[in-house]
Amino acid sequence: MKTSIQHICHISQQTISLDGKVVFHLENQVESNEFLNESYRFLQIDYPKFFKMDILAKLAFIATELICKSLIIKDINKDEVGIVFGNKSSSLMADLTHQRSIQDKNAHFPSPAVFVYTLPNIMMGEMCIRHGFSNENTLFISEEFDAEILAKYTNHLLNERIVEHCMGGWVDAQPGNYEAFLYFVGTGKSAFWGEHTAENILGLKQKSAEEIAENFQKTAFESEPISSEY
Amino acid sequence: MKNTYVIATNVVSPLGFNTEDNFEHIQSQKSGLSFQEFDFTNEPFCVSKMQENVINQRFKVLGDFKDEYSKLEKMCILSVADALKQTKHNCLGKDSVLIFCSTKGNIDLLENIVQNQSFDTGLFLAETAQKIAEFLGFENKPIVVSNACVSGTQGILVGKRFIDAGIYNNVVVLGGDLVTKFTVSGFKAFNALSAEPCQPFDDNRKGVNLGEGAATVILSNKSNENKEQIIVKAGFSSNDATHISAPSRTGQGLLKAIQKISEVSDLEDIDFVSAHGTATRYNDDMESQALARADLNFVPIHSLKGYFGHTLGAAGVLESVMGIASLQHNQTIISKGFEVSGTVQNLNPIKSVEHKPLRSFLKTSSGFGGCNAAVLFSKINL
Amino acid sequence: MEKSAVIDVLKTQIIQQLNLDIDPKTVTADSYLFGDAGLGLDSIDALELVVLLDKNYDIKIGNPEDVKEHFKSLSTLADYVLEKSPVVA
Repeated sequence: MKTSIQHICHISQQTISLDGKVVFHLENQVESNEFLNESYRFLQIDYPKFFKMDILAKLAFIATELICKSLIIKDINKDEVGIVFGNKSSSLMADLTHQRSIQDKNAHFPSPAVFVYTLPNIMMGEMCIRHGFSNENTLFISEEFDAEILAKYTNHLLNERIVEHCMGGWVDAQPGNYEAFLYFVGTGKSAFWGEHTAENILGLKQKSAEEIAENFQKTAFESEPISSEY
Repeated sequence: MKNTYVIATNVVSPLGFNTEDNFEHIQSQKSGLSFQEFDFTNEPFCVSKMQENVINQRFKVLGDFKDEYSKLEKMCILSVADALKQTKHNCLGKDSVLIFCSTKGNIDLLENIVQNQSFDTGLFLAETAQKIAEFLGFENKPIVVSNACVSGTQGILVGKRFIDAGIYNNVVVLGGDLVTKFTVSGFKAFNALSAEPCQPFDDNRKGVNLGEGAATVILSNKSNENKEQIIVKAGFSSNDATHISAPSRTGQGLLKAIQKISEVSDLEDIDFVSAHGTATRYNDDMESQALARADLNFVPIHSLKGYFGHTLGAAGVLESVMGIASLQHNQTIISKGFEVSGTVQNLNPIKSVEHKPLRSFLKTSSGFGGCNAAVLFSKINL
Repeated sequence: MEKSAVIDVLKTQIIQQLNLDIDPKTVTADSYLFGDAGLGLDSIDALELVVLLDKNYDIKIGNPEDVKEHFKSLSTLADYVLEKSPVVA
């Protein structure tokens, strides 16, 4: 069975691109969390729980929101949407926050609302709650984006009809750095972004990362001339 | 579809360093749980923790490695090394892969990282897996699955699917997690811990105990030489899509995973259910709902949390291994800590070791993020 | 400390600690904390309130279920803080 990539969304360097077009970009350098809150407001989403989420969940949430709004096929069976993600740093950002709250035994105030996000798969749970996806979630952790494993596993789920559609991608956050690259995979004829293969998703990710970097450099240059020491 | 055979198993826990020792100990009602002190509270807590010097003694046999490997890595290496010895198949080559299932990996290193403001390597799960795989001699890069408390069961499912899809012929599924201040304080803040030994499904249950361990299941598309074989017959996972920490009150997600199994395999032959059974009020009620809705609430059931605590990402593998041992020995395992029925729907927790022919069991797991997984193991004769 | 002052402080702390995207002006002393009719707090928030009371008011609560009635609104919570807290005089 042919599987195809139907939409892609990429978030990094204060830029959000959907299906190859920049939909939001913030020029002033802000903290990751602030950038994501700004994106949420810009996209006029109404989901107050967003503000409780960690960085990973916020990244996955915004990318999924954009993809779901633009789905070509409107009547997808949400119960049969699976999620297969890759990530490098697990839930490092939430882990650090939790660790700081327990580091000093005399000021030991672990927060349940932080601790729950010390599991990287929570981002997939948030997507499921928001969109009613109730099929399989799998999170693979690897040194870098492992297109091979993600594509092979996702295609198996689709070919065996374990899922009807699949949200795939890479969501990672480290201090000062974050990236989400999400794509919606379905069966049937090759859609706009072509066949769902490891080569294709890797190529699309690289291409859109380059576009984002270009956009970033351009605006960074325009807003702030690079100093001679740089 | 061809069969996925279980060709070797291991459990490393406070109750032993191989499957047989662990099985023997739980059959004599021994538990790895003991009271431990933590510096942030005056109240000691029951956890199932391994002594580092005992691990080191075992590890020394493999070579002289000083401090190159963390406690978790040593436990994991010992677990896989023992399992690899049990089979004549070469499970290290190009057609084989290691899947490391862990919720928090070497999270104990984070304390020093925050203290010294420097990023120690060894924290990242992919590095941990790589270190374990290299030590053991795997040719392929390992795969890591991290799906909260479902990680281990999900890893077995992923392994089966890799074999079904013909991507690998042998998959070594390893689960491993530690008891750390990180997890204990978090679960405590969630009000999910019992200071006393836990009592899954009991009316008096007060919460879970955490545990540490490593466990291995080797899956293969070829059987070993025994006449009797255990296979991973079917399995599915699902998401409740209701709440990130509270399980679905109706058990919807778990029911969905079980129903999907029933569409491809007969559930009437199940001899027992190896449940998640964390002994929190909500989890056990949720499981009782899901099992009742699947017409499985009268099937004998056990939770192994009373022996091993909740070993997080390792739990699915560890508990599957004990379930497999139960099938192989034709002996039921008592659901430790259960006395008086106390779940929304009545369940049938196992109260005595019975010797009788056992042919199949259902392993279920559920976790934060609303995830659920169910796997059906069966015995076949070649 | 006056009850109204405690309510104001609690309101700010809750909105901040629980990451609520709410205009403080819309929250009254009698707004329900839980459920859709009020601030819409959930089970994690209840546990978070327990931490907040411990950290800021030195009030130790084992199980939020035990103090359910005090978690009804800012007003009931302020009464509880005034009664139990050793640090609010």
